[in-house]
Amino acid sequence: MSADVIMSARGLKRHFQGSGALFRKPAPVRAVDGVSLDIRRGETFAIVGESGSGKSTLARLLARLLEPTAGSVTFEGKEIANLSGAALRDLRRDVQFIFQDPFSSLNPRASVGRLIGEPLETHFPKMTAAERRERVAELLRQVGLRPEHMGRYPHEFSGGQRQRIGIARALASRPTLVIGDEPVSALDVSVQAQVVNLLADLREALGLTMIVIAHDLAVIRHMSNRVAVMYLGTLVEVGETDTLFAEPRHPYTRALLAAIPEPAPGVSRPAEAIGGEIPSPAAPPPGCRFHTRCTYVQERCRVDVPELIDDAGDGHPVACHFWREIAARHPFAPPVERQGHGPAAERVALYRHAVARAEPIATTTTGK
Amino acid sequence: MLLRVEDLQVAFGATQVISGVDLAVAAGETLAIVGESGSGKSVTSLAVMGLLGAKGVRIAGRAEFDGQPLDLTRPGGTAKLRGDQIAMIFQEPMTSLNPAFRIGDQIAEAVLCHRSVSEVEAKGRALDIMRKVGISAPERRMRQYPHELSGGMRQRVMIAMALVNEPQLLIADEPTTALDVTIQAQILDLISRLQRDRGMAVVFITHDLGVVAQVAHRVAVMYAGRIAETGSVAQVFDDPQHPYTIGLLGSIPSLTGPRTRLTTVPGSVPSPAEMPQGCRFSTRCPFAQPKCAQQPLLREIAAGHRAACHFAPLELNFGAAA
Repeated sequence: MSADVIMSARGLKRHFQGSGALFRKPAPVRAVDGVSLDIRRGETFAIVGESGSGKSTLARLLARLLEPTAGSVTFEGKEIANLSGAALRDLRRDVQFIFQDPFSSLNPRASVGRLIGEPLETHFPKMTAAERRERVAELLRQVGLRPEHMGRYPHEFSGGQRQRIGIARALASRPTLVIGDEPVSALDVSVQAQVVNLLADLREALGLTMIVIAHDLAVIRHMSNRVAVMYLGTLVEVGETDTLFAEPRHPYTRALLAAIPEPAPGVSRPAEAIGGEIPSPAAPPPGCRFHTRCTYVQERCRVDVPELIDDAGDGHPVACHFWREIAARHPFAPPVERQGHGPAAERVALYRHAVARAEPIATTTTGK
Repeated sequence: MLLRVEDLQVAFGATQVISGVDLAVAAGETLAIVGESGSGKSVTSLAVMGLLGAKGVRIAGRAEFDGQPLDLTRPGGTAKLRGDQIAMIFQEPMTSLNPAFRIGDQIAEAVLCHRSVSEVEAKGRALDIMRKVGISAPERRMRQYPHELSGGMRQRVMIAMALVNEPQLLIADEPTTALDVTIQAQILDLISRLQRDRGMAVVFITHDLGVVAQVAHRVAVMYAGRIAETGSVAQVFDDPQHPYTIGLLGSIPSLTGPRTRLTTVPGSVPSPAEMPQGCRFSTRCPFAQPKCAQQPLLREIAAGHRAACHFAPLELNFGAAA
């Protein structure tokens, strides 16, 4: 791959001490168990999976909020595992994190001005107080808030506004890479759409690279260029967003896509639904980790661990022994396009037009 | 109609949170109440269940269940029906189950509260319903405690507990919101199947329009304590009238079609103190006009389809999109 790589992980593992029963040695929880990936400069890379897949642990390893048990992470070609002192501070400036819950990730006793000013003090100690105020005001405008909000406290804001504050705080140090752990999943759908659009605008205006962790595949589809699907601590499929959604290769990806209820009455889900639940990461199944829930399971899957390999050579690697056979025999039926009937599509267009006219969204991108 | 609620009003102290909500659901039918945080959808269901008994809560309105008048205004008015004819499941099964008791005992207790049967018979019914809701190895599960079960399994236990007395009405408040999509699909299928088999009425409270499209026959869209629009699923999704419904439909990221910029509903729900006069959506509505300072009536657009907007249908008043 000739693309410019900003961050890479190789053989990344993180095991946690499990809780054992009395007199029994606890089995380690293999939250992340051998992940390798490359993040290209300027892209939005999404990592999706259900709870227990290890996606949040992976995000924290990439941001070095957690130390890996094994493996390496490089950022701009440099290993980040053993950074300390000034080098670590530089990493903290360049790689920023947006948390899921805007209600618990902001100090309730700090004013918005202080919340956003704090990273400025840390990373730009030479800034004067006046310069800092000016920069906080600019950041607030960038995320669609008003400079007058500086003196207010987190509880005075709605969930969506709080997430905007979290984003402004993350952007304060002028990072090049932003990692978001479920940045929109705590928000109501109408507000979620605002924040998804805001993140897209910011990425473009500031030339950011983004890694977004999410469980909602439909949101991911609108936010990302490439997607990695994670199951029980390993990646099972990585691909360009459009390709992955149109032609998912791994049975787990197919099942995830099929399970999403489409907002179109009368459209029934494709029959890919899987039974059972994700097994414990303390005792992952042998062979393919998905074999206990897979519709297409074969004898080989129970013993032989499939590697994530790009054997088609088209930049769409998958960890399944039988993906070609499955695709040939059971072609994936993508969900039916919605808004086919009635005046719904026309009214949404009318509404969109009215929103664009009523509030020119320029406030989010102009910066200064 | 199995359940009919008319002109429901709920106030917490001086704050009116529900105003003039009408609901009706027939046997075998699923009514979805859809709305975002602060829409009043959960308060509505709790009022119907008689679970808002705390001090300072004022409830007004008329209600009828299975032909009998139902007193929602005083705590305990629905106590006899609760867990028997009307059952409820909640979003977070862990907080709805008692962590100190075995699963089987908790389900059997629901039987013993309402039916004069022996403990053995109650346990037998518990085992039976656990099997019906797809709990594997129910004999072993019965002896387990809630913390030993996964989220999906706990929700199945809640459903078993709700259905063990064969209620006529099930109120499900965001029953799949805390679950992963693959587990959600299993639970939605389960609720639909049980409903068909038993001819039960279901009131399904959710914020997820995808779920609504899958499970509901009729929909009520709530905004800031009022119903903005109500109709059959096809009417609301294919012919949405209220600007809020339209904005909400536009904001859902789709799995199909071009990956365009998402439509948004600007701003956020006003706090009760900042609630505007008249149409409550007017502060966020891109079509708002001076007339919106008057409360619009929930008027009939077509048979069974009603919307609370002065200007519906929008294209008649605002022309076609450019």
